[in-house]
Amino acid sequence: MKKMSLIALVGLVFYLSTSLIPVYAAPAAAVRPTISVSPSVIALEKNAKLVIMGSGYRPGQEVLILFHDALGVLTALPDAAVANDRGSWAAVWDMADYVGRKIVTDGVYAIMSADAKYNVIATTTAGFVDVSKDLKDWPDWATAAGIKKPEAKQTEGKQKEGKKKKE
Amino acid sequence: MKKCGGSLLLFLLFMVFWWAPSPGHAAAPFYQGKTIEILGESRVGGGTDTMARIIATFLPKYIPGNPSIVVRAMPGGAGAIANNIFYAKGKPDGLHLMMNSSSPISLQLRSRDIAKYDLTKYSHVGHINRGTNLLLVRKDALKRLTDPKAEPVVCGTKEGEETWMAMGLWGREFLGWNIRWIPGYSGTSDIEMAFQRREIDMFGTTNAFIIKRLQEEGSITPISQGGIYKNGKFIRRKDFPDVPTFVEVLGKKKPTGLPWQAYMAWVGAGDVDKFLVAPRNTPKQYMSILTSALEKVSKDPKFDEMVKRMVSEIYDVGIGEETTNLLKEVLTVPPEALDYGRNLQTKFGLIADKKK
Repeated sequence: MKKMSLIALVGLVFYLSTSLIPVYAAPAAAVRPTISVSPSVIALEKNAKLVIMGSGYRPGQEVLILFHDALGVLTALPDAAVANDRGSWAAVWDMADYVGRKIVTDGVYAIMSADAKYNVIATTTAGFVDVSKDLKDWPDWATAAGIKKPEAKQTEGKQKEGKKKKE
Repeated sequence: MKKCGGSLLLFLLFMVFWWAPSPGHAAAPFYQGKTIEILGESRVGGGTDTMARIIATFLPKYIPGNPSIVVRAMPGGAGAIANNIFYAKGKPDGLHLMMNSSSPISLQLRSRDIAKYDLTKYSHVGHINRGTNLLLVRKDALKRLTDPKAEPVVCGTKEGEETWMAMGLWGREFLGWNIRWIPGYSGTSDIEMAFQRREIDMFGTTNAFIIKRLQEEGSITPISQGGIYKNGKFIRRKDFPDVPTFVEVLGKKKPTGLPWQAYMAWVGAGDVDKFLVAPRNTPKQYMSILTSALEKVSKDPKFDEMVKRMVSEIYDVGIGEETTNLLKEVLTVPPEALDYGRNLQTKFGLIADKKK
């Protein structure tokens, strides 16, 4: 009798131990949602625009785009993107207000996609460069990514104009 | 063997209780692992948005369970778009909040058709009053303000309903100020950009951060301030002691009777300023957590430092019922006083919808 109850108890423990452990494994065929930004390094100018795209979402799913602002506050972009029939979406982040008000300052930021309850789905990274700073204060990755000082761009433009005139 | 079996039984019983959800788990704070959304009714970077961000920085620290907070802007219609949606569809689940401003108060007060909400019905977390508005004029446009033959000074506004608009409207009526209004801007942030583009010459704001920046640039002159109403008098802001109150500017031309009653009704919305609300009928259990947290935030020296650095050197915080009562007070105005203000708007080319 005792043996029976012991066996029953072992069985109960086994059942509980397996049923209470959540199963996180995703179905093998599921496509993992992604998010990407273009360009991945961008100059913080008032006309800065970042293209954000994603795939692997439920068709018709509303996708919120999140980042932590300069204060560290989690911020959602005003408009949600909606995944198309193929589960992909694209959005443009017009950064004018965020740059002008220093809600975004220079540095490397995580850009996240999230569902309507703000559960993060996928994450990518974007580098923002404060082009008003002295070139010597720029991070290596900013110059390596080909970001230029606005003056340099203007000079370049003038040089091109000059060349055209000569031609 | 018997002893061994007993120990095994005890061990197995321990395992069962260890695996089973503990009562402690059930008593975990409601907000643990959750995200609260603060919807902002104006554009990113404006005063309302900034206040939402500052509160979002500190609030999680004082809510048991330390939830995440996300700030999301929903600008447009001087706060009417966000309020209409939040009022109709906001979930009273303790996870949805909205940072509001005096503009939606003015919209509701003047019975504008676009306002489909009742601010007094929200569940109120608290309010932060940043002082009083200042009316700013571009330095090189100042002379035109009192010269009726000159090109009018162009004033930018959202819906012509802001608290500071009272100074412009009553200044136009009783001091003969030469002003032309352009409505339709989405927020103070948008209006300031229009000022920078030289699209407008005049606007009003409470935001000391904006005012001082423009003063440093040398582009503006604050000509008047609404004043803080205390003991029957309007007094100057401590951080702008040299800017006269509008009553001082009016001097002997200060009206009495209905016109003044209407002015007082108009500027009353500014007493609330920025206020944090939850949807209607949000259960008390959530509201007491949220109001208690905001009260603790208001006493945090780092919060004080941040508000003073980013928004205003002077501010007042009200919690829960204080906000409810203040809102009820400013939204209770005699109809004839509202009509007077509405008529001024119509007279000077600002849209004034018919009464509801």
